[in-house]
Amino acid sequence: MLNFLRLSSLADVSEMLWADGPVSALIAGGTDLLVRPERLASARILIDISNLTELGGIGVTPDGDLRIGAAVTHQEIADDDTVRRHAHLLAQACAQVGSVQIRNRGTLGGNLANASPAGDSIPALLCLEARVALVARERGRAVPINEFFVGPAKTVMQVDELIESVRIPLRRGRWVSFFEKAGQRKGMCCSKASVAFLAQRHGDRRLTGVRVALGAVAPTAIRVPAAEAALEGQVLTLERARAAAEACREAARAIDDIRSTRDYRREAVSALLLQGLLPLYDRMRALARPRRRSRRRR
Amino acid sequence: MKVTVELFGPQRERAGQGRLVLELPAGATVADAIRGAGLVDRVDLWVLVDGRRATRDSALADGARLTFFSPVGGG
Amino acid sequence: MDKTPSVVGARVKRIDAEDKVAGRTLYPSDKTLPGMLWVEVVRAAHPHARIREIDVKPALEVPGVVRVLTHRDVPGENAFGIQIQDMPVLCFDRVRYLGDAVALVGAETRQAAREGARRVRVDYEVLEPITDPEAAMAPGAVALHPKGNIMHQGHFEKGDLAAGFACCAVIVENDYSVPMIDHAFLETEAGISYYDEHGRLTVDACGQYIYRDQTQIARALGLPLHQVRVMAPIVGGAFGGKDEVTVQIHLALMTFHTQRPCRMVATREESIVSHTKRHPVKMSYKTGADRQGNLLCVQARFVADTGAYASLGGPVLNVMMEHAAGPYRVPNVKVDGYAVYTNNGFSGAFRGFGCTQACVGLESQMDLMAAALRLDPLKFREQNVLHKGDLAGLGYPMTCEVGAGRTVRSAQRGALYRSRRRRAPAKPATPSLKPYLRRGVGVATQMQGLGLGIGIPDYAEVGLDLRPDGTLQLRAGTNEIGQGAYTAYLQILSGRLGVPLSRLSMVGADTALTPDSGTTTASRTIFAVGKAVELAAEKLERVLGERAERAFGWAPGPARLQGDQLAGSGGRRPLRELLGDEELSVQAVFHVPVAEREMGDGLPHRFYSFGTHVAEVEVNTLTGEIAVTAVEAHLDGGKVISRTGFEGQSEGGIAQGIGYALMEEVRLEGGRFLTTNFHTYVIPTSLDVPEDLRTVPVEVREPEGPYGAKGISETAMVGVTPAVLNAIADALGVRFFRLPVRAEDVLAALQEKKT
Repeated sequence: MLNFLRLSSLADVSEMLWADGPVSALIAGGTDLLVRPERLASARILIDISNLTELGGIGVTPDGDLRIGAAVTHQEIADDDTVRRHAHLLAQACAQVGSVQIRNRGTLGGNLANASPAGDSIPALLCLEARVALVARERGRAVPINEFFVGPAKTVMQVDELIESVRIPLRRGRWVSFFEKAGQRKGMCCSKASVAFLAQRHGDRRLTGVRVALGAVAPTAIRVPAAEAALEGQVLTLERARAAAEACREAARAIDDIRSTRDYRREAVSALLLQGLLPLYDRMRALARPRRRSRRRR
Repeated sequence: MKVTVELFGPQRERAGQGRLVLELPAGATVADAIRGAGLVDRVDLWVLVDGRRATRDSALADGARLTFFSPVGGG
Repeated sequence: MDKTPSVVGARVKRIDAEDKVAGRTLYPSDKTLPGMLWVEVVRAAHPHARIREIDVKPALEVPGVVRVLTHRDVPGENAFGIQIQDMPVLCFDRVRYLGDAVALVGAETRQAAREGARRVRVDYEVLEPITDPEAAMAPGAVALHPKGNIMHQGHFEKGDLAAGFACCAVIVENDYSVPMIDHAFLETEAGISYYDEHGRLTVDACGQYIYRDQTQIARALGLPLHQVRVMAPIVGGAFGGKDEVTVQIHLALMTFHTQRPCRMVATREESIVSHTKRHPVKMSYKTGADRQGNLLCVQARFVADTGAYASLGGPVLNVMMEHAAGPYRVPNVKVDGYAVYTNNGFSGAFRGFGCTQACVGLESQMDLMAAALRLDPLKFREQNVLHKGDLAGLGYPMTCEVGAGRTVRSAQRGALYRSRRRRAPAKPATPSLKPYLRRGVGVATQMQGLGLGIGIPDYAEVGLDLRPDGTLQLRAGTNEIGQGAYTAYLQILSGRLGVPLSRLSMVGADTALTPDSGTTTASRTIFAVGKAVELAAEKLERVLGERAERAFGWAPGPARLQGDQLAGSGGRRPLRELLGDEELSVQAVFHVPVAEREMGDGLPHRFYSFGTHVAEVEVNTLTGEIAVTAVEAHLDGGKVISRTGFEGQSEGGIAQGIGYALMEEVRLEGGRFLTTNFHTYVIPTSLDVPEDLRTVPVEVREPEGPYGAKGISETAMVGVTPAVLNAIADALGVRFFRLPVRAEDVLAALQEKKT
């Protein structure tokens, strides 16, 4: 018998988890949980947290973070102006999760708690250097996203903890970003490989603060320092883009499974980074051109 | 009276031929025709009389055209 | 000249649309009855094993479990199967695939039934699964059935192949491999069973032929036909996957033993493991043409993995062989086919019915030959295509109307084909530079036999009831499986009687109410049942005329309905004056004409539909991903009855054809399924189907069909897959011989090309 509970406050949920954490499952959008009957079967209490106001909302905190509540849906994130302004990459990634139906139900907190190596929001959050705010009865902590995941479906969360929100430090300057993924079809599928990219763009066409993260090619999403180094402080050229792509291929520790192969995933992360960088390369050259032309005219 | 029987598939195999002419007493039914053809009646032996599905007790008229077959097709 | 009434060929709203959209339609999985038991199946734990012992006691101890049935409880023949009854209702000595049913558990709740099913103890002696058809065919292989593992084979030869090849300027020889795929119907196998008010054991469950299901149930339960009633008016999709019996006998058996209503609904996992599939086939094609581009030789060999049981595997192989040379004039043909038993699930009917697989091989060959001869692919097809009176591949004359050439010419005129020389994508997703996208356009021409062929009578009977108020009810025994045929029947009826659709209604698929209209398969319903509807309409007017002649003294001749009035030679009279309060019912039957000469194995067909598909793809050479960006379907299904239904069949067929080409594959390892749900068995969604879809009717009227109509449901799908394959080859200069073509395959092939 499964008990379904909807509680009125985060404090009540924390109490509940403290007492019955091992036999409880949290549900917000349900897009991961409901399709896995075996996980439902192991729980005796299902706690619906989708209604908790404490887990909702998108805003900027007094200490200068973008805060996104754990129960905010992917679609809300994709559509939100504040997110688009301060963490465009996350909006780009969330806009590509599943399908319209999944994006309308699935939540950011759920994507993190599920801890799939292929979770689409995770590479973006890695690039954005987000922190995951966890709460439990009488305690709380903020875990840097790169320390949050331990392995497939495994996080550092204790049995009585839940995700309250995701915090993303605000950035100054002009940033460029993209999220690219490959799947077995165009939507409604688990990514075979994904790439998130973030960099600050300067007037002289140099990129700094370059962040590259990969999904679905390792037990957890990973950053690729070698790819970042290949582009950091440089003007984007096709050679550098190819070098960064090559670094992604080298960094991928992919596996063969029902959805794809190790070899393909390694190729794909390289291809996806290139696919994202090519239009950026184009755009930055285009931005540069008129200035050159006007100079000539003078 | 005389009736003709066309046979298909397993029924043809069992009867050993594709076409029979049966001499039956007046008032004979489909069941009599099956016996007359030397076939063991089975639930999957379907019978058409003059092109329409008939039951075992359907009375036959002289010159009736019977079809014996089993629904072994699809697609 | 054309006196076709406007309702025929029109875009009309489907008669079932509103109820379906509003959620009022009850599908088999929606139905419940008071006091019913849930039935769960204990399926095989191994793909191949001997059963030593079945212990049901632990299941009976589960609270709520009412009855557990095993092979001992099958009162009639413990065997079923459309063609050969080689499949046990409940296994007794051996299991041959993972979907095999070993026991049934009936319980008060689904949970109890599942728990009971979990606790049935089956002691197995595990046997090595036979998973390779070629190995299964080899002498000395362990036999899965008494007659050996070659379930069915066919051999055909025409002309002189050696002499033919000697005259060829180009000979192309390749092996192709197509995977097992699932029908992925939306509603899993489901239904209810009960004793009706007349004491008939009634099964209201998904299916594609109520009368054949009634026979299969009666045979297994040892009951006379009239004690079994089967209904299945509305089914949540089938595509051939519900042609064979699924839940029907199990439901009947549990109700028979418990005297209680019962319900079954398969989970997706159970569905994928248990029902028939599209045959995986390994094929070899060797084809040749002379310098002028005349196709001279087609040699094909098919090895179809039919899995554990026969079902319709034999007929599928026959149709594959029949269509091995496609819609072309070929003087020299040799075809060898084998359908082989293995422990890989089991395969049977699926949209296209064998033609699908052959078309993948042959249409690839056609493109390769055209390229070798430096001929335009459509010109090459047009040059060789069959015309009325020509001899088809297997040597029989085409006596039906043949629109193959017209579909080719229609495709030649289409915008998509005319754009094929443009190499760069026409409309990349963003305006930015995407040099890594390659565009290609491919074609495929195809024909597909209509109906059941010549092996057994193919007939359709319908009933028509006229009420005194002038409204009419059509009764037909075929199913509404999503294809929209019921609407088309009423369009035909409306057209023939001049009665508006709003005054017509439809009763479908109930052995107690509807005549035997035959199977809901083989692209046949609009042709066969539609023709019977036409005949019934004519008969009704004739009968009305005769009665008006007797009652009113009108001159002999048919009478017409006009609202609640009857019109004839004597003017107009209220229908009620003739009928009183009685209904007037007529029945009509249509027998599908057959070919003049039988070739054995139910071949050939007499009627065929034709089609030419043009597909455009964009291949991403960085990631290997393939997007189908446009498809044009030029389809000859004779006169179109329902334009909406015609386009629906075409667009659905395009989606399914894309799935077969690019993503679908039921994967097995040692007879065990790796892809048991839609998480791992991936089918296209609307995002994978291009917005740019054009369906062009090429209406070559077939005089034998209603208003000249033929069926289209299979032709709409079959050509899509090879057209996509040919488009990929056009885009990359690399050809794939194995389906599905995934991004993984594309990248691997591109790398190989580079080195």
